[in-house]
Amino acid sequence: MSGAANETAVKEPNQETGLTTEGSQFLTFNLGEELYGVDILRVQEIKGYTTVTKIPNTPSHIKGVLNLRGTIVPIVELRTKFGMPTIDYTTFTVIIVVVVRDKVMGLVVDAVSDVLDIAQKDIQAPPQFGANVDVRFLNGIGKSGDKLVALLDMDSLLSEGDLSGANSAVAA
Amino acid sequence: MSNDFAQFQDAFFDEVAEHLAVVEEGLLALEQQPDDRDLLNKIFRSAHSIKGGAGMFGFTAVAQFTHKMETLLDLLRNGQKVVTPVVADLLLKSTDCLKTLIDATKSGASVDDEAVQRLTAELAAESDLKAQAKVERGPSESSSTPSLTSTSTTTFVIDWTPPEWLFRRGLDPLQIMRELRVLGTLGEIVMDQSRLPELTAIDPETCYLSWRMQLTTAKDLKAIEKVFEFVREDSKLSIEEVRGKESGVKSDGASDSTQPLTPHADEGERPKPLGTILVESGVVSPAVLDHALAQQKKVGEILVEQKAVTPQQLEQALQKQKQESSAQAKKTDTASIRVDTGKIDKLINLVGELVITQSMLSDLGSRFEMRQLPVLLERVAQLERNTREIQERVMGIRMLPIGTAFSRFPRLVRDLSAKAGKKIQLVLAGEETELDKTVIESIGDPLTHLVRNSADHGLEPPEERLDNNKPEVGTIRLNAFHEGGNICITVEDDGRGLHRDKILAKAVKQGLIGENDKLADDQIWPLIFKPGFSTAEKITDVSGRGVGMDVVKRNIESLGGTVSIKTATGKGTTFTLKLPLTLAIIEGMTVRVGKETYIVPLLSILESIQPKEGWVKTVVGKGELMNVRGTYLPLIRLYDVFGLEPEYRTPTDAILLILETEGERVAVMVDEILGQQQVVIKSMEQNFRKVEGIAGATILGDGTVGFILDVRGVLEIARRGVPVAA
Repeated sequence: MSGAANETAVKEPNQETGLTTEGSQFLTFNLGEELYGVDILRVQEIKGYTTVTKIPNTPSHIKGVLNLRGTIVPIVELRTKFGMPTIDYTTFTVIIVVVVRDKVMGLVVDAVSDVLDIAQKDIQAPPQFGANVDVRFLNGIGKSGDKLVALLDMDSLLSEGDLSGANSAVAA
Repeated sequence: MSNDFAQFQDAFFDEVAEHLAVVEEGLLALEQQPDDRDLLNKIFRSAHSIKGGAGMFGFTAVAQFTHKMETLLDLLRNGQKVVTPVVADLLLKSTDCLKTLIDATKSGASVDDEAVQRLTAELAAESDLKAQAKVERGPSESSSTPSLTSTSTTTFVIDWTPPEWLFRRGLDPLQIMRELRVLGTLGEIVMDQSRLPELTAIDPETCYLSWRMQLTTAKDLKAIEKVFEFVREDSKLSIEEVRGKESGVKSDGASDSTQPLTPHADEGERPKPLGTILVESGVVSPAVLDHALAQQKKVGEILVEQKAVTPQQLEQALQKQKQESSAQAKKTDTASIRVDTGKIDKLINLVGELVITQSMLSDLGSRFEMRQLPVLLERVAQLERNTREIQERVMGIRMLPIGTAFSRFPRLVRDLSAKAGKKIQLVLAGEETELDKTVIESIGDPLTHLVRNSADHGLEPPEERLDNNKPEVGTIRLNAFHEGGNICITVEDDGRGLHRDKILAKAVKQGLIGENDKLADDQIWPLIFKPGFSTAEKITDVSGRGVGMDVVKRNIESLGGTVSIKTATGKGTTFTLKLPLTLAIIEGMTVRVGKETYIVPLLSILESIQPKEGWVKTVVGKGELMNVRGTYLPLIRLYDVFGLEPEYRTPTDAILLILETEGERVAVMVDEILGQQQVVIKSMEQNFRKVEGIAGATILGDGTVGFILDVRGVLEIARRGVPVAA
């Protein structure tokens, strides 16, 4: 529910101030050379990478499941999900634990970078081509200083058959 | 303050639920053995406890109604009346009504006053017949069983403000009340402490209190006055006669008839209604107040009259109010759980042990040397044992025997058999099977539907049964048991069975299937779970409206379970509900395939063996079969099913688990058996979704996640040869 509210905050610039609101704070992380951002209110925690248990017969971007203090949390490898080549995990590899529609999931990313305030006016609609990522998964492109951040739309990213319906799973 | 009070109220409601169950159970048994005095006493005690509790919390409506029941029960108990089916039926109906009243009190919903009034009248009528016979009653008994309906007694309201010197002369108001009690039944006593000064200003020898008492007695005014003889001087005393059922002490009673019952959680702090204060202070008489209250209108009605709202708007608002209160009721339902004290004591002991182990460990840690390593390991092992046991016990607290869900059926079946004119016998089995509380709560309704269905559609009328050479009395059998990591509940009847052609005809008529579709039996039976499907020729109020079976299926599926049907024409029908043990603990065998660990529910394992050369036979189109001592079982290589990299690919190197699921046997090949342990099932669906072949997940000893095998699912993947959309 709060997620929906935040999304509106991102999509509709705050007319009165044009300045940052809570909804436009982003946790940024690296995947390869690129910088991505997720709405900070979606992030529950960041934890170091630990071995996960593979789930049989699931798409390859579903890395497996993890025991997060007694809860079973599925882990999505974003590189695979976005069709990027996999790399060996390093000490910087982390799992960002996010909450999407009341479900808790983990995203494996190369490294977390920063928490950035991105003003509404600095967020543009996603370009139709050029990004390494399918634009379906993007909410927009944010500018912060000289950095460009691809802002992820968590709802569309983690809905496609990953969460529901055993038969609708699609390999990314 | 209000919180404390609410807490007691919760306890009261829990207790009442238990007492009600006792009453109902007792009444059902009483029908069979009308002479059982012990049973009657038991019922009476429970009813009395309900009345007492309700009175204490000021739930006047409940207390008054229970009182009526109690009066009748008392007559039965004293042998002044005999238990007839009519009486038993009336009492059962009253129990239902009492349940409704209590639920309403709990949730703050309004009650169907008319039904309550009607039953009250019926109860009074039943009790009245011989009421004259019992004029005099001993003080010990009369205190608990006052009879307001008795014709030869009168009810007096006594207002007594004793003189201030009461204590100084060594007199005791309690003594007065005791003497009054000898005269008759001392009902409600209200103490007025308004004259009580601040604590610092209190003179302990001065009496500041006054009382209003309600006395029902066969004696006259003079006898009462005599009791007050010694304190008459300086006392303010008024003794008034009250006629009929009119209760002199109105307290909350007056407000109940006009205001919807409000949630009682805040009752502790709620000021008295204005009317009550006025009556108590003597400004108006109860009759005047009643008249005034009768003219009072509900807010909604006034608003409609003033055209501020339309009746439709009002209706909507009322609906909303109703929904909200029922939502509230649901919330309170899941809030508490009654736990066997034995379970808690054990838990406390275990926690004690845990504390000891912990202090031993920290002691060891503070001055640790390498040579103490064995001691350390031993203590850690002890800690492990403690923790595991505590975990099990804590989980166990949520587990209740399914008997609590079954307990409502004897009554249901009794009513159904009476209504349908059939003779039905109910057999319960496996009541001790433990199930998570939430699951038990959710299966009540589906089970009710199934039992009703069996009674109404399944079982034949007695004549028809006799014609078919069956015993006159039909049997419905409810059974619960564990099977392969699931809980199965079967509802079985020995009735006429499902009618293939009728179902087909109906399905065609409803457009569910085409006229020329050829369906196997297994495809036909599930049709009855379609919404709006019913083949009952006449619609009874029990079933036939076509709601029910689809609800059953939906409810069970929402719990992650399945419903299956077995039926034979003329022999009966069996519905099997299979429920996962969402929160339950299961005993499992940990096995390894390649680097992965899986848990196989122990209940589905028949044996494990190492196959010998030549056991495997390949059959074209059927896959591999394993010859186990002459029986051919399908061989399932778990690594194939789950797409893993195994250690062994030749069966003779590996281990075979012979598993059974729904009567089918398969041989599943794994690399190694690691051990046996109890595992707590964690839901995969909570954050992910259902994965075929996997029943759930659990946390293994090293903190990683292990999957629990769903044998059925594995079998199905193996049959298809390909996993779903991998």
